[in-house]
Amino acid sequence: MIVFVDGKKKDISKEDCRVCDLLEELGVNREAVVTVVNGEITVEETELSEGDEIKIISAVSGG
Amino acid sequence: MKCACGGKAVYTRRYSGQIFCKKCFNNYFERKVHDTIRSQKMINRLDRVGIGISGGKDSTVLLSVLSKIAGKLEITLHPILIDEGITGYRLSGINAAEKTCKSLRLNLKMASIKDLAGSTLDELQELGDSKPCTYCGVLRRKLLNKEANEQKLDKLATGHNLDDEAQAIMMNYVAGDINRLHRLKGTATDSDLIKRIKPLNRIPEKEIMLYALLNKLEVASDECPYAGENHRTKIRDFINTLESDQPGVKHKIISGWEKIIETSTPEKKPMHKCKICNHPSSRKICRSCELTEEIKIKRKDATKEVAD
Repeated sequence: MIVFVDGKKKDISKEDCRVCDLLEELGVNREAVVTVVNGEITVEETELSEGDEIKIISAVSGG
Repeated sequence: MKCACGGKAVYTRRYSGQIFCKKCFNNYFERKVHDTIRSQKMINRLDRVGIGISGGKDSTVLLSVLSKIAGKLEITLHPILIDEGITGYRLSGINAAEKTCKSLRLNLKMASIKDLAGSTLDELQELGDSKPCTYCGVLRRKLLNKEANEQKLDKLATGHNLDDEAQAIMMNYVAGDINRLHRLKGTATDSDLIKRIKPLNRIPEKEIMLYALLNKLEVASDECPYAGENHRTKIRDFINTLESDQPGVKHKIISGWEKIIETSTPEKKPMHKCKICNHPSSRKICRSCELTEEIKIKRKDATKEVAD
């Protein structure tokens, strides 16, 4: 799967997991982000598959 | 996962267990803002409501939702943008705010820190001894109030959300500052101080970002170059960790605070008029004038040094 955290590409070896598992693996707090899978905003319980593109967008303001 | 209506799920609200599709989320969100305004008696019929807008997600969502319910509330909206003068940061916010206001057919009024203090924020942080966030916070508050007075506005709405409120409460708990805990209630004590309202103060930051993304709002996402790792960032991360482990903690922080301010009495400080600008202040010279005067001296010294 292809993962972008705030626009930066991350290499992830994890496959066939849920969005919340991926966030945990990345050390990202689910309360602080919105997740987009294959172009659609989705819930963190969504199952991911090989080839999925995941964008993790920070919801917290930086200033 | 599906919403109760059968639509595709876009959000699981863990603290209540509800699942929302886009349409149901938008309905919930807009109703929540309306209910917050009503339950906290923020707005009266025919009020002229100013909105401090930065082009960021919170103020853009606030403006967008208020414009949808302004007719029902019988109010008019008056967006105000403060240009701090931060190179490479503010421009994208101005562009986003201008586009949003244009699409909503609202007139955007802009004011700048340079007009008030004679220097941009970039220059102030070079010249002065205080932190950039001190200049920004104090001068921005003053400018917003000044603009609101000039436009004869009844209320001044800001985009502060549930996370901002929970963080502010926690920071004041840690400092043991009961007076500041009371001040968070935002009760204006002088007729020249426009009453501040925070219609998003019961909505988590994550839901605000979700609303902005779902509705494709024009939002600037640049980070302020002066916002580094600070006390608030640590408190924010701490609260988000608690919320992740135990959904609903942010709401509990707010309800705990409400009980504390009900059962405690703040120290009453008499209000004065600033000797320099005549603005209401708890000091004889308001903090904004104090900072501006300090900068004037620094500027003079710097000019003298160059001349020497």
